[in-house]
Amino acid sequence: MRVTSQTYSNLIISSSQSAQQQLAQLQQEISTGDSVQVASDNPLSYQLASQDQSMISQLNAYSSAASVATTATAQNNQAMTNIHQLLAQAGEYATTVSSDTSSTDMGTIATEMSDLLDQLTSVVNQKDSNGNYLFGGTANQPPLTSSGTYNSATNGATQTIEVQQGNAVQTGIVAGRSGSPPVDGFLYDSSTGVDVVGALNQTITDLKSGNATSVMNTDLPALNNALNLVSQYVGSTAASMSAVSAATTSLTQQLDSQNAQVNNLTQTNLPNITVQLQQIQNQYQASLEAGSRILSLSMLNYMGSVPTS
Amino acid sequence: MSSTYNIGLNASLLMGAQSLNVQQTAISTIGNNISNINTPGYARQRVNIVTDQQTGVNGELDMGSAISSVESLRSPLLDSMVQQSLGAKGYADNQASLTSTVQDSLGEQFSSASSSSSTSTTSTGSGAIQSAMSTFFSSLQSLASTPTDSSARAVVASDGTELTSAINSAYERLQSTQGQIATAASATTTQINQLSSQIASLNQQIEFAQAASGEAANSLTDTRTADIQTLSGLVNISTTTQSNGMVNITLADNSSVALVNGIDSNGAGTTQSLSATYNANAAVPLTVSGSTTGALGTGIPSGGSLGSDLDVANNVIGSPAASGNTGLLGAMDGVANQLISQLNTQNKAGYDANGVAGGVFFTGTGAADIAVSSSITSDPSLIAAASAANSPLDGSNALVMSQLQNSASIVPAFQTMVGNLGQTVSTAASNQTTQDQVTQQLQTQQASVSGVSLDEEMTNLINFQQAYSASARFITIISGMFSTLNNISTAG
Repeated sequence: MRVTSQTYSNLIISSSQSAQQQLAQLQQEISTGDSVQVASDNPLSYQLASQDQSMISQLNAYSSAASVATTATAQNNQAMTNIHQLLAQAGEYATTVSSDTSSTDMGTIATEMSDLLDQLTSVVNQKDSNGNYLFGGTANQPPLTSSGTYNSATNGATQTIEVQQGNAVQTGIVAGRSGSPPVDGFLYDSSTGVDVVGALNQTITDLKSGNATSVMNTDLPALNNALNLVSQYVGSTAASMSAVSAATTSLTQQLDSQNAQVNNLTQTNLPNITVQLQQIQNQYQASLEAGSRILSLSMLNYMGSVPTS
Repeated sequence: MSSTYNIGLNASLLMGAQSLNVQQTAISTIGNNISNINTPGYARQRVNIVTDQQTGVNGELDMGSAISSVESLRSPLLDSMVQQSLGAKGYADNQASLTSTVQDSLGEQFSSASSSSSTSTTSTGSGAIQSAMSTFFSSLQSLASTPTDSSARAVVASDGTELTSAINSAYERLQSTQGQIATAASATTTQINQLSSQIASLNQQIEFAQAASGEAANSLTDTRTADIQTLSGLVNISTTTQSNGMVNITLADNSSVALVNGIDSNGAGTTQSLSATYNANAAVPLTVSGSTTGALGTGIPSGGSLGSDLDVANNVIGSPAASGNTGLLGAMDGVANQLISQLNTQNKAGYDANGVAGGVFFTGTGAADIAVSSSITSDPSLIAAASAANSPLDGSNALVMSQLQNSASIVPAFQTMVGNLGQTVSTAASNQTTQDQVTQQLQTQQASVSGVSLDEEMTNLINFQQAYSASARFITIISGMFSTLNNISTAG
């Protein structure tokens, strides 16, 4: 094929333009650390990374939810433990009636039992950091009145927090109440008839009236049943704490995995890119060198010696 | 073999003078070639020199050299292929540039930043809208955990507003880009009409010049070829060369739309001028019309930069859902519409912080007007986070709302839309590279026939210069012979 002067110019312009475009792309990748910035850089990687990014966002939200759930389940477990201790204490007080049945002593015990009821009311009516009642269901009402009786405004709906896709942890436990309709919870169980507050109030009443027989035969078993009921809740809240802890660990692992995937898809492989940069630079340099040598050659350079006549 | 006997000295002198003319013309042609080495469309010219044969009483006589023609070296096949390739290149170049601009207008970019991840650097921000979507749904998820937290409600309202603003802005930018493409298309049709006029004028000049001299009008033909190649880059055309040297031009997609017919263009005779019409709310926003045929039809013309203007404006950017529901605008309307519909349905299914059934969360019908309800922005307690009445601690409805991000028609649909656009941009860039190479190869082949080589011209220049010197010496010698004869006669 016949080659003309313009052919060289076009080739040099074309090859230098191509090299410059590649250098600009590589320079951008190195300076930003991203091999994929817009979808056209690598449509498939971009789309996969976008999906991963959405997943990361969801996982971060789940992590926040798990943090709230950790606090809530820890509060629940602590409250159940406290109530368990109060009821154990109440049982011990009631047991002392068997060996000491003086009306004065029973009155003193009744006073101490009343203090326990006050403490129970305080624990049951506690609020979270947002000022919400922990154990009144979703109605945000105190489970017990100031006089130590059930508040009929509470409900039995329990709060759950989803800490992973499809993994909702029960973070709300309800105190429950007797009455109509009754609400089952850690203070009242309609299936067994266990009534924690009722048992304490009845014990106090019997102690005040000096009815040692009722205390020993009726109230003490009722208190023991109450203790058993709360024990179940101590166990279930501890299980919830474990579930949240496991979910948190899993979330951290998933987050790390997703972040690693996004990085693999979008981040620059510096060693590879640096080698590519060097290759393109060499190619560019060679192209310019060859071009400048060829362009400077012409018949014009050798025409000075041509005779004119 | 013819002989040259019985040629007189006068005839020899004339032959020498004729030779000087021939060599001088050849040298002038070389000068012209060198001068036009960088002129677009120029084809190198060659002086065709033949033996000047004359018939005398003794038969055929060779009387030196003569110029039979000054030929412009062209390959009609390569010219035609380059013309078609330039049409495809015009389309590919413009397509790559416009689709990249559209991608920039959408504004979805990845950027990396350090984060709290324990083992690696985290990429954050997958584009303005995708980030806003993630943030919005995450804030709903947070609200589900803390439904009585008024600040969590305010964050949901605020993040919702940021999301709708991002959607509104991107939609507006895309429509603005579409308008700019329409303006460019209009300017392109003006340029097409001007070139048509120039080509028709050149047709006329070429016919006159050839009729007057009987020779090919090389320079005018070169200029016309350059104009036709420029026109090919703007719109895909078909050309037909007539016996009188004129070129007729029609649209390749519709041969009944004549741009140039002999000396006619822009509506004269059977020709038409082109114009572009833009209506942002039409199913096909950008159309091209012929002055007599009217709208040319969807996707016509399909080539040249005008063809890519139409493709990007009508298919890549597309039209709103209410009009044609195509391209990015249609897809964004679809995502926004689903966002509005699904969030509103779920919000209405729940109960707000006051125990009242939820109302509308988003207002509007599509990406252009989607907004968070003014009731909610002014009072975030109206967000229906609960699934049951009078359950302020219940955030289960907010959780269901947050899970709508996984609905195929919202976040995944938007991600697919962005991915598809990326594929379109990538394909356009790839096509541009391929078409550049094809055009470059064809132009190199064309240059191998028509291009000027300085080395070649310089070599020929020396040849003709030496021939010129020799001819002059020949005349001197003949002149000397005349003197010799004169001296004989004087001496006698």
